[in-house]
Amino acid sequence: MTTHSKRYNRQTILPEIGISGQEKLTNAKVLVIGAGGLGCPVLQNLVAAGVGCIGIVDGDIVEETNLHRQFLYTLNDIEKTKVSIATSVVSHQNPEVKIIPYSNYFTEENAFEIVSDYQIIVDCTDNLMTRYLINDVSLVKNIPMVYASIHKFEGQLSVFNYKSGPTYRCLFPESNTLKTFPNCNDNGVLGVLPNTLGVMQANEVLKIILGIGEVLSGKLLLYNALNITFQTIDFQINETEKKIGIQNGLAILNHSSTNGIETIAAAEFFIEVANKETVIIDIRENYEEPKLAFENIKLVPLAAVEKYLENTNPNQKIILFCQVGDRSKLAVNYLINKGFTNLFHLQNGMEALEKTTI
Amino acid sequence: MTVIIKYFGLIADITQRKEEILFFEGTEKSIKSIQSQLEEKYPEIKNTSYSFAVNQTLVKEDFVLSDNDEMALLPPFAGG
Repeated sequence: MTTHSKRYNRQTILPEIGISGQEKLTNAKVLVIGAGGLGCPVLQNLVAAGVGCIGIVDGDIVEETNLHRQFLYTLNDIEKTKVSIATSVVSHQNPEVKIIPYSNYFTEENAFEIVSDYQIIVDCTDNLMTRYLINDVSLVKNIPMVYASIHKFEGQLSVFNYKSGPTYRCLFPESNTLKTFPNCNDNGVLGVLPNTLGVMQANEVLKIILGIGEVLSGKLLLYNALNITFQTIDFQINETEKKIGIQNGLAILNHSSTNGIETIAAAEFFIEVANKETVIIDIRENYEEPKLAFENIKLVPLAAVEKYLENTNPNQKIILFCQVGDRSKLAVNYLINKGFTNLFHLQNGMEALEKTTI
Repeated sequence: MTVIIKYFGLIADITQRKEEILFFEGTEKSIKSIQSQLEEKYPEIKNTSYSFAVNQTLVKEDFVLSDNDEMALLPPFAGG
């Protein structure tokens, strides 16, 4: 108890926290999804504050381009999994905290198994599809989701599903999201920005656990780093959108073992390109090279795919591919929810083909 | 009537400005009709999705604005 009290002394002497607040932190279980720009500062701050149990979910590896903003990693960690490095670094930072690593991406297949009995989810992901997934799972589990996202010099922060409050879908209905769906190409980001937003996410997590202050529920904070402006937008529950989230979450819960996304390997792909009955779509942007010269491969960038397939029979066999297989996987996932039943994506995308002799 | 329009994220990338003041005939204007004028001025925003806020509160498409209202176009951000 002596090491305990000394380490946390400067926060336990705050009357709003005290020893009882520290016990709340020790007993808390928080799941951090994404160990990148937002995830690193979230983890560092929650670990420092003594949150007792923290799960880390990420399937990514460390790259040199991460280092200007993801301070858990160094040059020695390149190509190692983020989860393994983050676990080791933050365990060293505060050995009193229990870290549970999950070295996969957060998907429909593993979502409910991972979330299990965590009390709060921190959304530190970098794509809209996973954000909707986290929202729907947290709705079904009735736990709050602490959200942040960034774009160049701007950030958004909010807390969804807090005490049955408004959800991510209430703020951003999904209907058109495929159009703005980001791809692997990075927009660029100022390194300080995700750190600013991640620290604010950690702040919301601590307030929720401690039951102090005003949680950012029903409010969207908009931050601009270039002129240091903070604006808040109020929003309310949209019952239709909330229902969509719950229904989707329940469908994922019920089908998580059977609703796997179908993948095809490179060899099978080359058989299919000769089959005129199969629709094969290269969903990469027009400037992405090299292109494949097969007659029945259509070039339809991701943002235009939904529109392109508008009048297609939902039972038509369709294969999507991109550069490394991440965009195509998420697009298949999206299109399954739109009613398509015979969808496949090329595992590891063009990179898999380049390793295979035609 | 005068409306202050604020742009964020991808939308501001397209409009190349953070805000502007627009003038409209009459004293009331629906979100939808302002939206169609903005889409004419910045055709690329048709390819994005965004929510609307008026005077710092999220509103639906049928909301009607008055003189001096402030309207924001809010796209979701994806990055993290």
